Amino acid sequence: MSTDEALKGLAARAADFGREPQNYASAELILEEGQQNDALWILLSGSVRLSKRGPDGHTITLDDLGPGSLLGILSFWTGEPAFSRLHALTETECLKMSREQFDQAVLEDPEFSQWASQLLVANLSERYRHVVGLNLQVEGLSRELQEEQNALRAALLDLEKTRNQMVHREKLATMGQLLAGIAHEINNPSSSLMKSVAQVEEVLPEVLAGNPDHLRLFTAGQTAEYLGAGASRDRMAELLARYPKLSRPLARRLAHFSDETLASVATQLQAGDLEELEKAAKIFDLGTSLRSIRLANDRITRLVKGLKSYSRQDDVGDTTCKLQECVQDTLMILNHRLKAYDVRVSVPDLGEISGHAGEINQVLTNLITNACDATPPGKVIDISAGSVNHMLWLEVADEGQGLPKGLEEKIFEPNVTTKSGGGQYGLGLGLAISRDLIQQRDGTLTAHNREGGGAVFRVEVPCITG
Amino acid sequence: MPKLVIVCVEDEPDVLEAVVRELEPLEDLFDVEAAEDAADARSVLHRVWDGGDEVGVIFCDHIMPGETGVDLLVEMQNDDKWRVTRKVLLTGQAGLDATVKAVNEADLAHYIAKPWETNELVEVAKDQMTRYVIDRDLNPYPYLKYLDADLLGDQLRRHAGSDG
Repeated sequence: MSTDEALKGLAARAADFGREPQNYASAELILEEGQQNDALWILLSGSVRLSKRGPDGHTITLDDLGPGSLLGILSFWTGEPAFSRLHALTETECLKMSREQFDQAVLEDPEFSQWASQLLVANLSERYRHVVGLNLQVEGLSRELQEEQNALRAALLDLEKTRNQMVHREKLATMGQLLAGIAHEINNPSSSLMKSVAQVEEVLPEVLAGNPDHLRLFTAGQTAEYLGAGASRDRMAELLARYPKLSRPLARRLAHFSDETLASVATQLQAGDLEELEKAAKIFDLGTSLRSIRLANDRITRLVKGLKSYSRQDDVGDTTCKLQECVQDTLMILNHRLKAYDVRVSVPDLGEISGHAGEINQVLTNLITNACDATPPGKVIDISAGSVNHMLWLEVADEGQGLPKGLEEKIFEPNVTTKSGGGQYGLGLGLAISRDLIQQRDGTLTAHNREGGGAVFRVEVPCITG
Repeated sequence: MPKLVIVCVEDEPDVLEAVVRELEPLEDLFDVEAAEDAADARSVLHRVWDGGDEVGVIFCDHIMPGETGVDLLVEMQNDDKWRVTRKVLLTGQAGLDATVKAVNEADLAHYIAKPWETNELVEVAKDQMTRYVIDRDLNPYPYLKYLDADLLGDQLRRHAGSDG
């Protein structure tokens, strides 16, 4: 016997149980959640929604029931308050029976019993299937949720990494602009200084020409060789021993005189004419000072040039550069740090590589400052380059502690740093960005420990011209 | 009476010359010696010692080719001959680690950041030389022109009888 037959039978016999089928309008309440219930509804036609208030006050739909469903089963049989709310979704026809009517019908009519139990079993198994289905759905949903959570977490990490890299790049770009700006600002006074020096160099000899001795002293000062601290100390001691009248400051100045220039003031030395000797020393110093100014300015000019090409912002994209020049620029910029080390550079002109000089400089700066951080002062930092089969390689080798075991690859990951404390700080982005930059040029950046201690970082990039 | 010497160590020739020139006014009483790196400074130290004189103050750069200034100062501190020498760091770029080492291991007396002010070197030299005279309990009167009488205090009274 099917549910349909049972339903038809019940509907046909409704009158026999003393009941007219009861009708509910669409959206009409049938049973409120929590209400005491003493009746059972047999849904003959239409559909009814089962819903429940959730903990946060929202109404959750549990199920929509169609004809053949028994309504109020739980509260009818257990006597407990209604578990859920029932309302009509459409025009609905039900057979509503009180407990007595139901008991009486069961007792008096075996057919009713059969129909009722048929409906009950069908209802319970339907609801059971529904619950199982829901469980499966929940299971699937929470798995999806978990996956989504994992994906979100990965995306967040990725985003953080990208943001850090962008901040870092932005910083470097800003620094580059600053450097270029500073270079430009220094360039102007430096050029004007150079012009003035040239002017003085031209005019001063003319002014001094009136006294050939003075002119000679001035020229001697301009062309004097730098003695070095040890040699000038010795020469000064010699002068003091020979001419005890000399004061130490005066002897120190005369120590820079060549033998020939000293001979030109021999009379004053013998006579102990300190006043004339002071004057001679001053004119000689005029020459050395002027040369010092020129040399210092030459140095500034070179530095500015180095700064400019180091921080080159103009050529973005597919450009080429010379590794040798990049190494020279970077070494000049890092001169202050490298002074404390025995830096050995063997980088021949190997032709051009594809890459933006600013980026290559960034990589070189990163590798060389890392080497400085790792190496105790006074030890060797080796920078060498060469080419094999159209690949150009460059190695920066230090005499530090080497890479911690097992971290040879990990150091290239973002946010991994081996530097800490002591005023030094590492973002842990340098190597990650360096590798990224080199890989963009179809190159590789690798690291290994060398025999006898220390780390070696090796860059390989394709060579464009030989 | 020993000759008191001020040693200056600096690898940039122009800067070394500037340091020495600034200290030259003191040379009627103290000798000023210039050295271009740690090894050169070591030879000056030994020569002064061998001549029976004393290095009262050393002005030392930190970053130099070869050994660093701080290492030289620590080495001096660990040697009886120069432990009492007043040690001054004159540098543009000693990092925190190096400076801490100089204070802790070389008993650094003073730190001067480059570029220094006019007269700063002379003032520091006078002050440190006064402390050297006190530490060594030397008769201060021969050097009094360039010493800080306030700091000397009862050292002056104690030596007043000798040849003051």
